[in-house]
Amino acid sequence: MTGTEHTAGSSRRATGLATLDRRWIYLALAAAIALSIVARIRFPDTPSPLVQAAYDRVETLPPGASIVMALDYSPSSRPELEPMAFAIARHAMLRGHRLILLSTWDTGNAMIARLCTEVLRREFPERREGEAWVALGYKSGNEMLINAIRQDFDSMYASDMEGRSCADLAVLAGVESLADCTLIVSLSSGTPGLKEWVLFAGDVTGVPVVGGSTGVGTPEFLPYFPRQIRGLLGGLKGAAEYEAALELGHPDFHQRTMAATDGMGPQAVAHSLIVLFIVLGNVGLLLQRRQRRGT
Amino acid sequence: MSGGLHLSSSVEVWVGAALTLMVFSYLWRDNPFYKLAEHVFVGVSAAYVMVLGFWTTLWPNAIAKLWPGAARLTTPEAVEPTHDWALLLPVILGLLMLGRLHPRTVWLSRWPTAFAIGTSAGYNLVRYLRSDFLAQIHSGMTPSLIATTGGRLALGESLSHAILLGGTICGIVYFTYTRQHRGAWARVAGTGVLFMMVTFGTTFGYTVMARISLLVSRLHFLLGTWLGLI
Repeated sequence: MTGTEHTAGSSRRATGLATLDRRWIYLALAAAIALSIVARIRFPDTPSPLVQAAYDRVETLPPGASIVMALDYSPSSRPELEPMAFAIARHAMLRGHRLILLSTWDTGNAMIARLCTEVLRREFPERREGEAWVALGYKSGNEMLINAIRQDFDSMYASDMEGRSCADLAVLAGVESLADCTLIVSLSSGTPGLKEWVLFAGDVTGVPVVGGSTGVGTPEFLPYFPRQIRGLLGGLKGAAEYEAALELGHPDFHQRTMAATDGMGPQAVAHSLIVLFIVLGNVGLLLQRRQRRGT
Repeated sequence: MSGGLHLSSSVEVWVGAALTLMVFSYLWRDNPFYKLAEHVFVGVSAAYVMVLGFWTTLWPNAIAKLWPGAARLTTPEAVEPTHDWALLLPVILGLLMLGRLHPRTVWLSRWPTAFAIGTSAGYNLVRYLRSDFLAQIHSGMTPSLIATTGGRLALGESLSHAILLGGTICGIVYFTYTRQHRGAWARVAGTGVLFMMVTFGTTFGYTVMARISLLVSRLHFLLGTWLGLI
């Protein structure tokens, strides 16, 4: 190859990379993820200190401890937060804790219903609704709701999602306000969410708060760890780490679904592809610069 | 791999798959299918929020407490709540908000708006001051040199604390505008910018992970629940 041919080839490659239709990138990404889903690619995960702290908090509570779990998310962030909810709920049930499910998001009722159907009723039929867990559901009011139940649960929740009077439920015996709870778990994808639970509940009552957030929101919560948030699950990775912690801590228990662990394989493949595209983009830029200098 | 197509027979799944593909079609270009999915989403969301708000909050927390007999209309076994006439005030404020629907009565909605903004600002000021300002200062006041139980220097933890302290100081210096950024001061501020860049990079990385998680979930739904390939 002569020097002129070599320069012409580099020029074509550089122009090709610079003018590559972005839809090819979408297609490549979708194909890579689809293939890794079908091939069931999985990578082993180990819990990070942030996730381990959350796990230990649930693990070390005495059996019968009451945990308020707020599912403050919508279907758009369900892929990241639902695996966290499933894993923490399983953990709480295994340890014999009482679970109080509620939401400050109007879409929370559907999320709570899924958790009840898929995990609590199906996997723990011996832990009866009303005795081991209760679904209080959504109420409007945002942070004012948190503020209200910090002082008095009854003022906002007279009945559960099924219409049963809260006064008759054994699971709520001795729980008159948030201060009577042992742990607050907030799984959130926006406002109101984890931040509001820290500001309006945890910091005021002293009840420890453990949180889970979407990947987008996680960096915002890192400064709160470990004093104001005692454990943090960040995005799908955090959920996968919690599933791994549960597997390690309770080897006899079989997790029927491990959506986060299943999702991290395709996630890793997609990330590798994105890194490859970034490298290719930079190579293209360097080739263009060299071409400009040559002319 | 289970092998072969096992198409779902559920109408719900087919509707979900169709809407997913309609939204994905935007990646090709804007088109009527995407617009249809978008409008369905907006309409269903608005109706859902309205109906849910009525039955989960307005009915049990306001109407049933002002008119206790109403509680038995929906759930005959429910315990009849006691009268709470104090709720008339928030109900009236809520009704005033509807004044926005007509140009001549818009002014009525300013009262509940003022009430909502005032109480929210008051509550938030105290809480943010306590949790985001004072508590964060407290969290930042950590010793830079950490010793292990054996009395040795815990290098990793000490380094982590030193970076935290350094990053905090450099960041504050960057946002100090009462002194011109020159000489050593400018170098410290520049280091603050570097720390911020790392933070933005972390945030972007997490955002990529979040978006890919959504795509993985949707493809999992299409390939598994809809097509039965997995």
